[in-house]
Amino acid sequence: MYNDTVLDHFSDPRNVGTIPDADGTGSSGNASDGDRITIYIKVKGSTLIDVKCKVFGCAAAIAAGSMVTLLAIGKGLEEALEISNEGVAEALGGLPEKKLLCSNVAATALHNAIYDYREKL
Amino acid sequence: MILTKDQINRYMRHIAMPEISGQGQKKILGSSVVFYCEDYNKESLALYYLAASGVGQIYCRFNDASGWEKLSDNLSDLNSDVKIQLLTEEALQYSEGQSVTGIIAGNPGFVKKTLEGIIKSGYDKNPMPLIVSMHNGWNGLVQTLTSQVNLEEFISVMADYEDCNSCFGNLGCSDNLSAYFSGLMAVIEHLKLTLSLGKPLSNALYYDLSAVEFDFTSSSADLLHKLLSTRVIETDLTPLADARVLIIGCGGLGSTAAFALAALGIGSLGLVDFDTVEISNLNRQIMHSTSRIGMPKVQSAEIFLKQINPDVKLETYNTRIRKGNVNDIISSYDIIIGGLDNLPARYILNDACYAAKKPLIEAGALDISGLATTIIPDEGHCYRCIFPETEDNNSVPSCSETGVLGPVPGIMGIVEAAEAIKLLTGTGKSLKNRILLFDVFETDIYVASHEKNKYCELCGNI
Repeated sequence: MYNDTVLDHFSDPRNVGTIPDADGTGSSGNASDGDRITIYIKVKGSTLIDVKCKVFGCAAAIAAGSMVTLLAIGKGLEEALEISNEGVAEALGGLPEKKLLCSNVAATALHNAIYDYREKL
Repeated sequence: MILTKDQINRYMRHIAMPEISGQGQKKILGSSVVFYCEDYNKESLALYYLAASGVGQIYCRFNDASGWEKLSDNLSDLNSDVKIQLLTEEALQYSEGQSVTGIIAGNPGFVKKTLEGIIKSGYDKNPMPLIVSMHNGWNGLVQTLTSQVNLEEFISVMADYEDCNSCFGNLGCSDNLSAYFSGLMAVIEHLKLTLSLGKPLSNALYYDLSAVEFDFTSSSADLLHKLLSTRVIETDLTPLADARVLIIGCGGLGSTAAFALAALGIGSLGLVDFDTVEISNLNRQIMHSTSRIGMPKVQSAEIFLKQINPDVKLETYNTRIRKGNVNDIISSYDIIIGGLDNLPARYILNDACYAAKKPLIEAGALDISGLATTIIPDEGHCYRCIFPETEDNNSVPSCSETGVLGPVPGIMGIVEAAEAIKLLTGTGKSLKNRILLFDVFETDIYVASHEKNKYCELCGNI
């Protein structure tokens, strides 16, 4: 069902964890759907200097969480807001149709974290 | 990649648990167990789960290993990642830095003798954690000994029972359920130690499967005395030979429920499942194997169970249960055991068993938790009394890849088999109007009382 990139990110997700003094936090998904992700960001200037994720869910969701942190770290806030669900799925080399919903939580959570940061300012 | 593609698919349900992930599964694959037991047939379930979980090396110290090749073949077929070998006295050397755990599984007499032997052969030179999986009738005790001091304390309590051989006697089949239960708890203990997760059972866990009672707060010494001084009463299992039990779902719960009932001589076993064997099943569905991937699960189960007990009459239904077929399927059986993995089917089954007035034993497992209850129509609560149906339950199909630790559904399946046997033999105290809640990492085990709901949409009288 999954390609090598997805299996890699699923079994060895990057940047897993929390940032205790995060500048922004964003979540998406819910436990009853089976997938939930929280993204923590650290911002310097207007650049994302650190991004961490905590994912509870299926292989697609975990892989998407891992991949979105890689896509986001080092990017400016505006650039990061352009990271889309489709972009994450593409970076993962594609996902089965029925799994796209699961992976969509990742980009959404990232955007929510950035909105949270902006609100706090 | 941290693991091979096949491994990632095989252990998917472990890797999906954030606290385990690929790193944790790698640790499990790098771990070793030395498994001491007297009767490997009785203790085999633990070996199946060690293999399914991916414990890389299993060294077996059996009192009598004759005929064990069949088991060894099955274990390799279940999981070729795992290396299983017999260990002779002389070969008791392990490489430095290898993380090794000892599991001692058996009746009190065997455990005592083995522990004394381990101390004599210089335990202090190569101390490894020792997990005791001790069973006596319907009762038992599991404890993880992590130091010489613990070990000596344990042995000193057992020394008081030098002459009480009747307590240690061979009880035949009715001891099996207890052996399966404590064996699975021991496997979980090994996984907890390997992953450094949860709380090891440094204080003993005492259990009584007949009353479904647990004690993990009294001192280990008190619990040990309790187990060793309980007079064991043999349970007459002859009613099983004429009994007909139906198991719905040949997966994680169904595997051990079927295994236990077959091993104990159930007359007829019905098996229902629409699905085929997949590699991601094999971290926990020990009825199936690598060579049977792609086969209908009921067919795979039949092959496995015939090996466990060729005399059991097996009736298979390669189908999903639906409102349109469930009444017919359950009609000829005495007891129904639920091994389902979704809510809508649970309601269908509950309602059908209520209408037909058939006892239903229900369980579930997810992540590191399990739940079980026994439903006797009108006498006790039904599934809807506990979990009334709401709009949410049925609307969103949940993603079916959330994690589950292999032995957890296994343990709940044993609880289900125990319930069935108690109902069939009229012994013990069932989980009617009670709910067993199990968290294996914190060893939080709670049996809650729960009466019939008089407003229940199905069985309420209001």
